[in-house]
Amino acid sequence: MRVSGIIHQQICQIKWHLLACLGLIMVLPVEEAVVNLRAGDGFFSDGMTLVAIIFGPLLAGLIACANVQGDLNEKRYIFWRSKPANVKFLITLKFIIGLVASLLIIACPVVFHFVSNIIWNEEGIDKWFFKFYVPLPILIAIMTYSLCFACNVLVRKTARAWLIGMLTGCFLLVLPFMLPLDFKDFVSDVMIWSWGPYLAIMLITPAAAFVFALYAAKHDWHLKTNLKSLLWAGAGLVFILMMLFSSQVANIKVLQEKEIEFDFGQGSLNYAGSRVVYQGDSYIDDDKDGFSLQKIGSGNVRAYPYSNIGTDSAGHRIHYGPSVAGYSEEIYPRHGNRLYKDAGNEIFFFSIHAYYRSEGQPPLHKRFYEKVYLRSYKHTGNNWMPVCELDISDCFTNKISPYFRAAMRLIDNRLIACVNNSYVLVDVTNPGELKLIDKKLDVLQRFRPSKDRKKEFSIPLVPIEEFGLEERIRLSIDLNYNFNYGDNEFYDSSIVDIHDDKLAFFFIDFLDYDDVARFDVIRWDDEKIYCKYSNSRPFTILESVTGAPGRFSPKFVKNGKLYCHNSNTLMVFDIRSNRRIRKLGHFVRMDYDIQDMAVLEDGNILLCVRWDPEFIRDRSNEDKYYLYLLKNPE
Amino acid sequence: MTESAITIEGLHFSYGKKQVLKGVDLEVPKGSIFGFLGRNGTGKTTTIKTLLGLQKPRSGRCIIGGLDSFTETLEVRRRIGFMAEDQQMYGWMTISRIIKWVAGFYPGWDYKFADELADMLGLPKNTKVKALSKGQNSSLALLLALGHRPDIVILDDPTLGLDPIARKDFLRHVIELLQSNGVTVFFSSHLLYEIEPVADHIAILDKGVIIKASRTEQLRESVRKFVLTPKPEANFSEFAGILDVLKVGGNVSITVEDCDDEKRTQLKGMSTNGMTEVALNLDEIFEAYVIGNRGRELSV
Amino acid sequence: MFGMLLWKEWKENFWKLWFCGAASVVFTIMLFRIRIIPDFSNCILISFIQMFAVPVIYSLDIFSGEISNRTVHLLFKIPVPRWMLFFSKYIVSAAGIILIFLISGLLMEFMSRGREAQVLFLLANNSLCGMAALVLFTWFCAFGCQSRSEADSLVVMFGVFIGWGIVFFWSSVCEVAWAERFVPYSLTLMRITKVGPVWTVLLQILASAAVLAIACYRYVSIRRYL
Repeated sequence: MRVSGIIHQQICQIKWHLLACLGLIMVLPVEEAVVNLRAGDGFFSDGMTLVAIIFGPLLAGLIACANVQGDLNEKRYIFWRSKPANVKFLITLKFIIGLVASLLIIACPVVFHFVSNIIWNEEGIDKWFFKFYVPLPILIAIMTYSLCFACNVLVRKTARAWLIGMLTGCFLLVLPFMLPLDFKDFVSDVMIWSWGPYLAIMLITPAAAFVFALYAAKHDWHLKTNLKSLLWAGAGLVFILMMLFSSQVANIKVLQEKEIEFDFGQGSLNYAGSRVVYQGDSYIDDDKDGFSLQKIGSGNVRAYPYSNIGTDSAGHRIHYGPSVAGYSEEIYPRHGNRLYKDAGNEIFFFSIHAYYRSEGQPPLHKRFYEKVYLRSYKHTGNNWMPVCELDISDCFTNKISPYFRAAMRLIDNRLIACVNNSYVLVDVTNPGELKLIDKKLDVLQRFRPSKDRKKEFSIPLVPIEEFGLEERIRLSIDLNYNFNYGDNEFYDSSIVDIHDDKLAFFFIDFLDYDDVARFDVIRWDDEKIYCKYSNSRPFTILESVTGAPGRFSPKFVKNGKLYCHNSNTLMVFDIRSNRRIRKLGHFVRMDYDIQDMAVLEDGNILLCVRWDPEFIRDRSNEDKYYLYLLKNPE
Repeated sequence: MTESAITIEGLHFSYGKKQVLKGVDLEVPKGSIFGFLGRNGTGKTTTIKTLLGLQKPRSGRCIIGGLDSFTETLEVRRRIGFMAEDQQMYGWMTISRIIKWVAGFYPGWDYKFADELADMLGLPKNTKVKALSKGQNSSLALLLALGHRPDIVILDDPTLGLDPIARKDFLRHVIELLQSNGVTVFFSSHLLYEIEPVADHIAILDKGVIIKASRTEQLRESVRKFVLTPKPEANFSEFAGILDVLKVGGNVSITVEDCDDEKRTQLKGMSTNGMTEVALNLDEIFEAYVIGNRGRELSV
Repeated sequence: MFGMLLWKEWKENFWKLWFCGAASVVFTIMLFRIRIIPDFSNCILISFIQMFAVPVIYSLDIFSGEISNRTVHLLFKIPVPRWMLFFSKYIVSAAGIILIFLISGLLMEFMSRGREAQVLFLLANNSLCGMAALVLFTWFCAFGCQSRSEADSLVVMFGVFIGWGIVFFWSSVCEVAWAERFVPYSLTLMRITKVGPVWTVLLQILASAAVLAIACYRYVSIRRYL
């Protein structure tokens, strides 16, 4: 068999297709270069190279079909099969020639981009472009090429083979998105890298398709197709994929959706004993018909306390508050959240108020924190009224500070309020009367994480001996959570899971590891808790796509489940097993803003979301707020 | 002179630079079964397409039943019946459906006749077209071409792809149906033995021109082969009407058209010891016309 | 006679209506129920996919199928003018396209009920995409009515898509508003607010009429493959 003859025949067979594809792929980069030149920037292409090479895989498929169509249409197949040719060798040769042609098609705009940017672009070449954007389309192109090649051997009709090949390629690429959660949990056990499945698909598929094509050509396997059934099959496949996809991203069932009134703050949902309070003005009542809001009055604090805390230069009493000129107030918990205490028929909440003066102009201004109060409020009539106040200003041991860090925790009738590095312990048996039990200044230590999370590390133990060890450990971890001591969100919840006498906490890392990791508390002494990394559940691309990286933070752990959300996605993980974290649910509302969430007594999830209609709805820019009642995934 | 059903005058046609028809002239008498012969690629189908007004000739004109086929295309198509080579019908329609559908385009469709035809051709009415065999497919195409009782029927290689028995069956039907009714049949083929028993007129197309058109019988009568031993001084190249000369040993076989007594005498004069006259079949006549050397290559 | 041609085309292409309609309905219901993205974005997504897919499915074999199945021999020889054959195909396909967009538009409107987008906004947006689909289909007819096979049709469609893509890119980068109006994609929402709706629609209608005339002429003058 004369190899040169076959190569020549093959090149003749695809030359027009090759030239047409080269023309097509070069149009956009050249057009962009011309536009740039006319704008006076120089003759170079930029973003359009990327657009062009995205077309690369499509054109590679076209080349694959043109490559073998000439030999495989019904009448010609008999002709060349009747010749004494080694089929496998012939097909391999054809495959390689087409593959080279396909790569040539992608190489052209890339080379053009490279050369034109080096010569004419003052900023030079973009290394990131060559590192990431170029290899990916090349890998995909090799995949689509092989698939279309195999399909053409099987179907022997150019257009159909191309369509089937492309559809199969898309199917394989989106498959890792779509597989059931359990399977993905399994994959994530095996795979270290979340892009691993894609790389595996892109490498295995061409090889498999090629081998299949060899055998199909040798044994004359071919399918009779018609357009109608192909389209139905394709649509069916897409439907199945969509179902699988929705089972990934929408597997938390919406039980009820309700638009709600909104006054101020951030649409907060807080626990008051076993009940949930929305925005400080309504109880959430949940029964089998869904939830309803039971209004208890206004959520606003209508009156500010008159704190007899000093006089100004004219001798007038100063009342600190937001309206007092020169002073600003910071309230913890922030954004309208509150730490409630349900005392039978009455409901109270506690908050910490810090007052500061600013000097200088932002951003170089300095804050002088002067006073900080712990207050309790009671719901009377239609409003929240302040009923008691505790001056804890000496917690600011260093008053010139740009930060005000606070945390609170209510354990039985004891309230711990932390301000910067100090804490106070208050008896709130009668929430209308705050009784100071203990105060320690500058005793809280911050935890500084090491870079290697797999190394054993320790967290300082909170020196409050009033509580049991378990509570202390839990409090210490919660206080130090996120490895800082800023806005602590665990005033009425916790990130620590206590299960089978084991303590563990969870951390979501989108930056370095891209996973949700479990850390076990292995031992403790009087000063420190010693922790160790246990296992993690890597995120697949699905989480990366629907979640904004870095902004995912765990909301809390409750009944063996970890709840976390970012602005538009809620995820629920099963953390009951010590060995493996399983993902249970995923709920997405793109373009919505999740404000807060709570888990109701019956296990259902309540989610408060904000919808910013922008120009889409009625151009009024009026935000809308919704409460979603979601079924807790099992 | 008998009236013509189809008249073609000076028909020229070319695909780009390639000239396909170089002045075709043809008269098809009314009521005849006209065999239109030619090798592959000589322009048979092109002639028929032009005849149906599907393409515009560079020059010349076609008259069918007194109508110009290019200016009155629709009327021509309404009046004639046409069956293309290897004609495919809509596979998703049933036979009765496609008959009904095609009938709608012909004002004079004879439903009763079509029904009879369907029975006669053995077409199962409720079967879908895609389920038919090749033979049934041809029968259906014939039915669709004849259902409106046209005066002129044009069949373009109607038996292509049929096996010999199906072909015979098909032709038998054509003759049964058409000959008795005085319908003109214009019939193209390259299979001479299937035309021979059917056609009463024949035209041979070669390289874009009609090289012979006559009655079948007349053609058979007038084209003869003579085998003789030539005298040394005999010069066949100047002999009029010679189609083919073949040297076999010391003898020469000469095929001559328009053969009459005068030519016989002339030929006899060129022979040393008399000659044998052989009658030819249509196949041989066609061969002589199309690939005959006209005595050019052989001067004895 | 025209009615019979329409009947034949309708029967022959009914599966496309059924297929596109069913796919539209199923995917619309699915996406509007899952609501990963807001109704407006769902509508854009579905309408865009439909805008490209529906004309492709309709024109993939409407002309080339007759030639590759050799039914053209029967079709072209029945005593009907060729322009009638062309328009029977065009009208049936156009009606199918309009029907599909109407169904999906109404369904979107019903599913959304002004939830996240203004009432009738989704219907209007989807109708504009339908219009663009119709224009694209007309272009496919103009260039693809002589194609012999599905592959030919597909190449033609690729050419039309990319060709308009190039014009679109050029006219938006260089801000050539008059050229932008000629691009069928301009009919979709974002473009129409930029270049002025009335003129765009008017120009598209005029351009389509011209293209339709070209398409018809090309179909009437088919000589080969018979």
